[in-house]
Amino acid sequence: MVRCAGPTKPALLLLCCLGTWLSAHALSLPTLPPEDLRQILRDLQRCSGKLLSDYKNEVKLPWEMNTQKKYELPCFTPGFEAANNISVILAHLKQIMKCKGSGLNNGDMSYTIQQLEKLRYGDTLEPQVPTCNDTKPFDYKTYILETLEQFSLCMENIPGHSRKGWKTRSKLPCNPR
Amino acid sequence: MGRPAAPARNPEPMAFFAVFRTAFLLAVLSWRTCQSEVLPERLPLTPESLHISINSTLQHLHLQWTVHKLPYQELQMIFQIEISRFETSKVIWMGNYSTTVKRNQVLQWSWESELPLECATHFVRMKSTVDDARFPELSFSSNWSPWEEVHAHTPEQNTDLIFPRDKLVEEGSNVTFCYNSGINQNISCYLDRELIHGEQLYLNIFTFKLNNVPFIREGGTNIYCAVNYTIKDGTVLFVSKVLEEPKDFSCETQDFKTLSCSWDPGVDTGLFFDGQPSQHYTLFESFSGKKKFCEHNNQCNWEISRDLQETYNFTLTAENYLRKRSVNTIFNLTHRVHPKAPDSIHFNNVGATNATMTWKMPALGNYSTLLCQIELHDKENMRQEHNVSIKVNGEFLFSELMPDTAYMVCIRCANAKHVWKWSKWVTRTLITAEAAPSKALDVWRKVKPEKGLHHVTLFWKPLSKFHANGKILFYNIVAKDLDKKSELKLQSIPAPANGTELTLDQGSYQIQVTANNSVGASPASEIVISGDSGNEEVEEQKINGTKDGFLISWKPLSEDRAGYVVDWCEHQRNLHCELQWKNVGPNTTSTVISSDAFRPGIRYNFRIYELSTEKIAYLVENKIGYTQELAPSDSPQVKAINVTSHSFTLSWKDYDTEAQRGFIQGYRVCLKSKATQCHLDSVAELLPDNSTCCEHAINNPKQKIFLVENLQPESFYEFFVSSFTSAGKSPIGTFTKVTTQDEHSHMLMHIILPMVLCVLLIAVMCYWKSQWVKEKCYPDIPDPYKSSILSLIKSKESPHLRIMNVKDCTPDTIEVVNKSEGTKTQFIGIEKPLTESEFPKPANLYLLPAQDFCVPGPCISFVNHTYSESACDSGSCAHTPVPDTAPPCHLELLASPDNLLNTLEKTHTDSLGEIPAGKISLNYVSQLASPMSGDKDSLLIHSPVPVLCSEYKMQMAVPSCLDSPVLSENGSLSSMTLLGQDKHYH
Repeated sequence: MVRCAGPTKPALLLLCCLGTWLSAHALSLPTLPPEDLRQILRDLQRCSGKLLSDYKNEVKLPWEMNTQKKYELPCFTPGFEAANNISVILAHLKQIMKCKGSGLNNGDMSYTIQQLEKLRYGDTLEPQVPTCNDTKPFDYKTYILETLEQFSLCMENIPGHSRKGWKTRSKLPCNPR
Repeated sequence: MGRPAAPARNPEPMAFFAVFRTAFLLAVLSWRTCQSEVLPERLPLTPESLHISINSTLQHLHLQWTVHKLPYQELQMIFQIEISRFETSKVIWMGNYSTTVKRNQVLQWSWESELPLECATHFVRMKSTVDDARFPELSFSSNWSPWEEVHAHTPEQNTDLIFPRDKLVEEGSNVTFCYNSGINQNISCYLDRELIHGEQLYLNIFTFKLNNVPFIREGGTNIYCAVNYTIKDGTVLFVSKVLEEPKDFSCETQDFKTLSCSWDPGVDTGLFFDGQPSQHYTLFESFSGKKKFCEHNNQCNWEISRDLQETYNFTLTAENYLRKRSVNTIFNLTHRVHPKAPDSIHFNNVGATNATMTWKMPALGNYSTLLCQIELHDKENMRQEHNVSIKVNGEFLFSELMPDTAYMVCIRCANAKHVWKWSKWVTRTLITAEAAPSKALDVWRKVKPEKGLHHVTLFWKPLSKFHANGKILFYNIVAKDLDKKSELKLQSIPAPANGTELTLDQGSYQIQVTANNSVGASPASEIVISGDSGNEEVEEQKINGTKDGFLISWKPLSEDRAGYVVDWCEHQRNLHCELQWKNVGPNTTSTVISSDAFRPGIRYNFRIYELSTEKIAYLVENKIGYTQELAPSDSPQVKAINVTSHSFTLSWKDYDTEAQRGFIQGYRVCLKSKATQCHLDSVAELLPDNSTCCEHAINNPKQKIFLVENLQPESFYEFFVSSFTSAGKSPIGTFTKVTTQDEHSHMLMHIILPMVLCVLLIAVMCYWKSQWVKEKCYPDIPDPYKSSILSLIKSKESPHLRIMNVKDCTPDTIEVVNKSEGTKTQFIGIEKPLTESEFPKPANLYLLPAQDFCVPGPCISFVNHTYSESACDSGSCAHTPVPDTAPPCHLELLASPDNLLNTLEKTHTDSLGEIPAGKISLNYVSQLASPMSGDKDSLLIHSPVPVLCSEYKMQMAVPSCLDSPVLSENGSLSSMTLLGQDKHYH
């Protein structure tokens, strides 16, 4: 029987958590090599943060204030629902991208959607989401803000990944390559 | 500050006045009340059925009402309208609406509210007044209608706080916003993240106004309100750019099937989030009444009907949510023809000077005649321009073209009746065929006679492209002997070449040169070389050039002449002369020669030839000149010759004046000396180093020698010679130094030379008579060994008798007679030679016998200078026989101190080497018997006087080299002391 003691304990715990998270994804996500999966997650973290930051700067909305949280985005949580959640996120982002007045960088949006598509599993149905034409302008702007905030928050909470320092480089394209 | 007090009055009249006034007012009031009760019954024209509707987007109150019981079919009426906000008492607007009212008509009127109607309840009432001149009896006002209350519809959630919602305005508009704070007292509203301070309008209704709003972004400006940092409501203000009128609206056709209309739309007024789409454009044609919605915002195609409507009147309308803008154009269809570019362009029958071009005009059919513009360009300019009228197919013949020339042909077409727009230019290249060269070559020659031959160098200038008519392939040179009338084809020189060399005899030759291309030869260029060519000599004349060249003039040689040729070398300093020439007409006697190659400071030589009618060239004049003279670049290299005590001569004959950068006008001789003043023929000149020199001027450029006179003997002089041209002097270089000779040196030469000759003559004479002199003056000393006496002694006396050998003697010490106290210096081994002054001259030297001497008494020796001789042979210097009777003295050669010193030095220095045989000298030393006896150590104080030993005892030879007599067997000096007057040597 192996007993963990001393400073190795937190490291082992972190490893276990990350391993569990990745293995959980491995069950629900397409079978990607672990390194590819990590790279996609890193890209999504970076892009989600950049999209939110750019949008706040462009649309001049009060991001320091709370919105009324009319729209809820499923978080990027592990488990068998991950694939479904990714489909929901994809539906929102695709709809936002269609909206001409979003002010978001098309390249960044395309790359983010492209990365999410890699994680999409099977032909899951995309839900109905608010459209640009059917929603009042201020509400749609708020909707985009809420969606991007939630998406960014979800990606930030993925264990083992950090996007520190990305705000300072937000003018760089989201696509690293 | 108060007013001044009023003066006191009587109280009784004041009380009466007050009572009367009150009674009068009561009477008037009762009369007015009576009247108002009577009028409603008399005037039933009050507006009725007032209905108010709201257009929130436009913020309009729309009023509808009727007027019942109109007494006439129609009446001109004025309606006075009052609008209140929040309460009926808060009237915010009053106004009149004048109109003609018909019986049973529903009247309408709208009012635009500045404040969004959702923010407040509005009340409206009105009354009418008949204002019709036809019915003056009806000219009174009706009663007010009752107040009508109106409130805008708000969304069912009733969460909206800010109004107006998503309003669209044009740039520069004023917009009033209002928000209802409700129960939230800490509500704050923002405009694009900036806090807005609203003005309280009524209870919880706040308002703020934006004046002259700018366009910020297509997504609109965000306005939102938040409570406790939570956004409660927001709206977007869409500010549209002002729709512009389309510019440059025009229509044209390229094929009579479609009219293409285009315009400049100006700014795009489209906004995002369905705030407003981009403006759209509509085309309306009034004659046909047709209308078309344009798909693009800058152009629209219109189908031309088959009946070819002749005139069109188009109205283009740009429209967005806020505004319409229209422009109009009316035109005749044939005036709006813009043909397509010509195609199928071909060149046929291309010759050297002409070619035919054909082309087609697409798609216009036979509806109109076209005017085509054709331009012919060569590399530099447009050469030809033609206009051709065609229907469909065009053809044009180009003539007067240059052979072998590339032309650019440009063609475009337009409607011949009315040029609206030309088609695009179409460009094609036309290259004409070659033709034979059209001009004879410009030929010139240089003739150099040598050894009975003429070396002729021919030069020619290449033909211009204009005259070459094609690529020159080769040049033919044909020489014809004019004396023998025979023709000789000499050379065919491939191009490119601009000259050749011929060697001809001294006869007269006619030389023809032609240039040839693929088609043929150029006209022949002739030149005649006569027997005298190259031998002409004429005097050089100087000319002055300018920056623009040289003006050259000459005098004709003869009346019958074909012209003149002026030739020169363009790069004179190069070994290879690039011969240039210029042809001048027969009646011209001057010309200007100019060239970009001319440089300042270069001498150019121009030779003017007159050409006879037989093409023979005669040298007329020879001129030299500079475009600009410069100062010489180098100074003469000067030699000083014939240096005497009072003069010397300067010479610079090698100085090449022709190679200088200007005509040498003379020289300046600059002489520096210790003398402070210059001679009269020179002037003092300040040099760059602030020193001065005496400058002598030589103004004859041919004088290359200069005598510098009036100098001091044995003095130091420096000189420098510079040349000068009209532009200045040559640079000053290094001064050459000269020292004059001694004044008496020549006198010495006059004396010494004869003396030397005399001495030589005597020496020769002496040598010649030396045997005689020797016999007379100092005959040979007899050799005792060879003496007959010796044989007699041997035979008659004791056999023990023999000759003493010098080696058997022990040398004596030498003591100085005049001994004085002084330092004793060891002579032997002294490395430093003694000078003459250091070495005392002895009065006499004496050899004193040693203690163990074989002879009891000492003897005194002296030098016999008479017997000094410098030649001896080695045998005589070896062993000298000495008779037994002779004192056993070892005698040395004792001569002057110099001799002695030399001898010692030689001994010291030559001890390591051989002594040359020739240097051995033979000295004769006479030895006298000493009359003195006694202490052998006693010094001789007085001069030795031979007394008893005065008779001749012996003469013996001692070699001056001192080797044998002085050196011991081991080669060392045995014992010798030199004694001087003051010094004592051991």
